[in-house]
Amino acid sequence: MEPFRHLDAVAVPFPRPNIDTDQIIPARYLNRLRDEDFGAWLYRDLRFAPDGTEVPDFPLNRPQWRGARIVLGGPNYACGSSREHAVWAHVDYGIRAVIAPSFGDIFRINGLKNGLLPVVLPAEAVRNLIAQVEAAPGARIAIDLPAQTVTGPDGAVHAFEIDPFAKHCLLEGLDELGFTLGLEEEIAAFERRYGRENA
Amino acid sequence: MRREAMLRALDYMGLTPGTPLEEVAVDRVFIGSCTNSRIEDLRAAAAVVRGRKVAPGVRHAWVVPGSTPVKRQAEAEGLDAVFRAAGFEWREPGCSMCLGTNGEIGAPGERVASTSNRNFVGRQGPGVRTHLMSPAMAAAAAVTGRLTDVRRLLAGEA
Repeated sequence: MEPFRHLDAVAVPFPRPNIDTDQIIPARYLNRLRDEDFGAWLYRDLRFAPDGTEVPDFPLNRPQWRGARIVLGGPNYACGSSREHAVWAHVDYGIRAVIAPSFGDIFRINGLKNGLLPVVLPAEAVRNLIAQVEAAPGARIAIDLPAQTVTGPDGAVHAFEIDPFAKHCLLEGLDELGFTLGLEEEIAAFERRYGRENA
Repeated sequence: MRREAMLRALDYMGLTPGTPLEEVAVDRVFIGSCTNSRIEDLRAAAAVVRGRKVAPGVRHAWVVPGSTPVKRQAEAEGLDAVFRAAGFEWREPGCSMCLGTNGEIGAPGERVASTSNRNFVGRQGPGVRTHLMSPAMAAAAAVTGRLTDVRRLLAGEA
């Protein structure tokens, strides 16, 4: 997975509370394989009309927010059914971070394992960032993962918390399997010693 | 924002504030899901259905047992025959309309009395309206064709 260190990108506001994973990716796409482009199905039924044409008002379809790599979300972002595909849809679309007052817990944890950074900021701070990107089309937000800060278009710096192990994995671009494989020499040495001692 | 969310929900569900629940007609009934199609759930639903018929307005009434052992047990108890005699489809175990990944979904605008446990927008198909309820209540909705208090139905009042 692609390492995450610094991100300076356009942020799209989507502050509706309690957005659930059925909206993020409808269940009919859950039987698709990981090598397909899940980005095409991100918010499929909100982004597109049934005939496949774009819904002009949907934030991701607005000219100023195309190419956004950050989502400014509402409280309890991505609650609902457990589906890793909801994270894949964000990542494949090009989203690398979601900033919200709170997250559906499964989505938050899936994000950390798939290179999508969930940033929890106080509701007031998120509202403030949303007001700024709505006022200035194309406004950018900077995320510094080593420093654990978000810098808004106004230059205000917001600190955020992240689990140290999850942070390490994101910085190195490792999922948990990748992390374990990085210890392969130690594991092999243990196996040899254990084999000898218990022969 | 809370008000907005509620208005959006009412609009999606095609409901007008103040409408009595028992006036809401259903198009489909889904008795299924791993959590609400256990053997005791099927017994409870069959007890409501026994000797009654699926209402003409209900286009699809499905029973999807929660697992293969549940299906076998229900058949050993003759519950499948009770459902079939009433006009239900007795189907193979699986997620079915709880998730809809396999294509078992409703048509846009259809109203479903469902024993699954998620009623997110579009969960049972784009534009499909889900009313979550117990197996006995779903069985009652199937035989009256509308949301029905199963206690009143069993007391002969509905």
